[in-house]
Amino acid sequence: MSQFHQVFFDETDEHLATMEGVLLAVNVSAPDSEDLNAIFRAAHSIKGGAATFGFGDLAALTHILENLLDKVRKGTMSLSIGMVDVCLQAKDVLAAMLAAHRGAPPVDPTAVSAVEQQLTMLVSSDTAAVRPVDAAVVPAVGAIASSTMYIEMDHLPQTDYSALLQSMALLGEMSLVQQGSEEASQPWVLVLTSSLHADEVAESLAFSIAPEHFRITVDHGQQDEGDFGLFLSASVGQPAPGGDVAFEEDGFGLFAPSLADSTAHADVDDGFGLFEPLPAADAMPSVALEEDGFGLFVPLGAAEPAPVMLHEEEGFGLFAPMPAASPAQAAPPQPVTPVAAPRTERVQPAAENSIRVNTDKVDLLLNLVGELVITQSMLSQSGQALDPVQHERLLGGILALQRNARELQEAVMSIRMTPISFVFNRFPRVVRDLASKLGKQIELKMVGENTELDKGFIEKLADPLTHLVRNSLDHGVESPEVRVAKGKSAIGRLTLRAFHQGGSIVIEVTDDGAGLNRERILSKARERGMPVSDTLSDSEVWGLIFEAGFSTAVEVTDVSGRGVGMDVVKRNIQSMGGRIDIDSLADFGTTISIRLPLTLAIMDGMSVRSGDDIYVIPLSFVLESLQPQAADLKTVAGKGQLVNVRGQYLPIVSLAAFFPSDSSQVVTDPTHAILVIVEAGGQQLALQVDELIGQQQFVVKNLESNYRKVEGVAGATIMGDGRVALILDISIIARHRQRQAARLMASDPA
Amino acid sequence: MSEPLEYRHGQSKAVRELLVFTLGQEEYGIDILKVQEIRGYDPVTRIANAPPFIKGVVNLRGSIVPIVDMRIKFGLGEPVYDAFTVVIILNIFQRTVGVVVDGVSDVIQLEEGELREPPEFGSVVETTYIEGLGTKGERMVIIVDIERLMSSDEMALVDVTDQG
Repeated sequence: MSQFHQVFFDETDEHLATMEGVLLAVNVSAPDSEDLNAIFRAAHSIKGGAATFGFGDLAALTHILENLLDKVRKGTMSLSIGMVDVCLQAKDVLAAMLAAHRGAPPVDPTAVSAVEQQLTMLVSSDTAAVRPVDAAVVPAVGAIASSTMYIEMDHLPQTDYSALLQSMALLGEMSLVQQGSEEASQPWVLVLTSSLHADEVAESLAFSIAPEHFRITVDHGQQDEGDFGLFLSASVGQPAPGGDVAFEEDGFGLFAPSLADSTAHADVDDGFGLFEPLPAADAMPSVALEEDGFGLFVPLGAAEPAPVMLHEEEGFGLFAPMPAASPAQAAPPQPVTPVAAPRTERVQPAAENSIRVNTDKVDLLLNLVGELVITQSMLSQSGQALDPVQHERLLGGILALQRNARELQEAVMSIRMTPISFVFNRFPRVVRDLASKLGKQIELKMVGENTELDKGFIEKLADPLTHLVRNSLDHGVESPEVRVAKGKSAIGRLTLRAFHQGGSIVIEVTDDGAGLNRERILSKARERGMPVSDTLSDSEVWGLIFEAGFSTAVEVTDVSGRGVGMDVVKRNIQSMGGRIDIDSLADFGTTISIRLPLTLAIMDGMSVRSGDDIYVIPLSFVLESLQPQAADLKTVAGKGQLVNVRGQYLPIVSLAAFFPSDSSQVVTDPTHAILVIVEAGGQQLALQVDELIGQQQFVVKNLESNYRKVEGVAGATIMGDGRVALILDISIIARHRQRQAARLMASDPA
Repeated sequence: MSEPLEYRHGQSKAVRELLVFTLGQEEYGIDILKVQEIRGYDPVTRIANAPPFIKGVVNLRGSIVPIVDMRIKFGLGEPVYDAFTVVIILNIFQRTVGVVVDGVSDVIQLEEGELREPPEFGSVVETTYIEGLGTKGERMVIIVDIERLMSSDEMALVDVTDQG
């Protein structure tokens, strides 16, 4: 069973995302019925899956949520903003539960019960308001009511009944009445007492048995007698006009709808359309009118030939509907079928067009293709030595191979590509919550959601982007009053934009708020003792906000302003091999753009030589490289060398000192070496290497998968000749140097 | 290793298949199922600050594989690297590791009766990593628990947990 858990988790993630997306998009005053159905379907699928796989907490909460959604969907309750909020909270709790099942810390039970209470309250408050008479029925509908079902399954040769029974036992209390056998064409008969609706049980069953081979009959005899009496008196007490039929049926919930469901389930395996009360109600409006309080039950039974009642022992006349459900050919399902069928057809093609593949497999494929490209380039290198006239065919083949290999590589790369909407989709929610918290009006616009980028980035981008969006909302966009005073529209605009530019992907977060305040940043920097002058260019000033602990927020809110964050954002983006830029104009707005390489697996780098060893420096860390003049070098007694780069003294770190080389021919004199100026963790240093070899794209490989972590090495790559080169982790090297310097300072007696 | 193997899986006696390699004068056997392939010695990329017996890493069809020289580790044989140097690529604890040995002799099958208890002393490999002795006629092969040996701290191939 556990191998299906992952699939369930993935699917539930998707359903939750759909639910959230639709909830945010739905027009509260005039909701589209398709939207409501979509939300309901998502909740319903989660519940079905959760119950099947034994995640009781998920199933219980979705059950309550589903009840609420079902009412909204049927129009017995109107959607309100408060309801959307509660549903969103429920979604969050569900996501947390899901995470807990995946190994995250367990969910706070008070949060769960709080949401459950709110949901139950919503369900009951509505009922109370609309139909005070029926209030007593509510607990049975809103809370988890258990019902007893009789399940009859045909004995099929290829079915593992013991496993099936086990999984049924997870749904509730189950007992086996009759064991099935093929020879006697005897069906299996089970009694199941469960909080689930018959249609849900049917859905779970449909995983194992084709829908035409099982039947579910609902018995409300034991549990519902109390309610039943109440309901009767309520109905009788009401001068039941004709229009009340559909309405009553809803209120009763347990009876008629589930009946219709289970019946129809016998021939349609998609349960969704079945919830619609209309067909069932339509089938018998006139009867209901005549029969007064009893009207509801008898008509269904009446649709069924009377003799059936005989073989059900509990046939107290009232329960006629129960047998009615069992034969699939009964009259009521007919009007239902056309509703459900088209939907089933629509869903299927989408499912067939995609497959779920483990990313490991894709990575393996990518690896192999990478190898193919290397082999191919070796072939073309050897091919160049051949006489083009004599070996025309061979050389032509090598050329064709080269083209095919490239195309193959691109195609495989594209498998890893995912649209950025996976990250963007969370922002409508973030913006909505935050805007109401901050009392601002924000319009969020998203452009280029279909821009694709490496799946590895998707996960890593979420946090930095969320941070930027929160920052923009908190510090960027002004409050409506201020905006109006400035002559801007009261509604602030926040734009998320993603697009390709050259070999990279650019993601922009733009707001039309107050912009960054140059003076305030500068004075803050001085306050913190940073060496800044008024002559700094704008972009240099904006760069200051990426310093650790830098915040210009006047007061610290729980949204932002603590000054942790922008430096983390920058570090995260850098670790992905990207960079981040700010553009800002006072009172016009701020644009923060993140530039990322197309894929995580490929990185722009500069290859350098130190002794006999080749190392790669990620280009995102490199500022410039130079060969210093002797006059620019300064030695600080016993503490190493500094180089003067346009008035700035930078410490020199020899790569050969960090990674001792076997070779004796390491250049020690900086004037004969090359200094690569790198920036990491807010500080610059000059990395001394022997030679620059070139700048190119490198395929990043993990060193730790077969070996251990090496300090100062971020990974490895394979060079054109098939040899391995190590990729340097500049931030570690910079930090290492700082520690060394600190040690030297400490040991210095002065 | 090129001699035809006789598979005796149908028989009742337990048969262990071992790849036999030499280190100095001693013959060692490792479980053949742990061996991925045997290849020549390719130039490695040195890893700075690594112990001397870790020669470096090589590119094995796209994955980065560390190479350990057992001759240096156990101070045996002459660590020369030429066309005859043999590297055994092992697949252990879901990792791929290459080990350099003096030579690979053959693959032997040991039956139940040919297994002996490990000796108390007398081999360059520490007794904790020795599973037993295999005797085949005049030959004696020391059976090494290669997985345990390679994952030991002294090999420094695996991160000590929580070292960051």
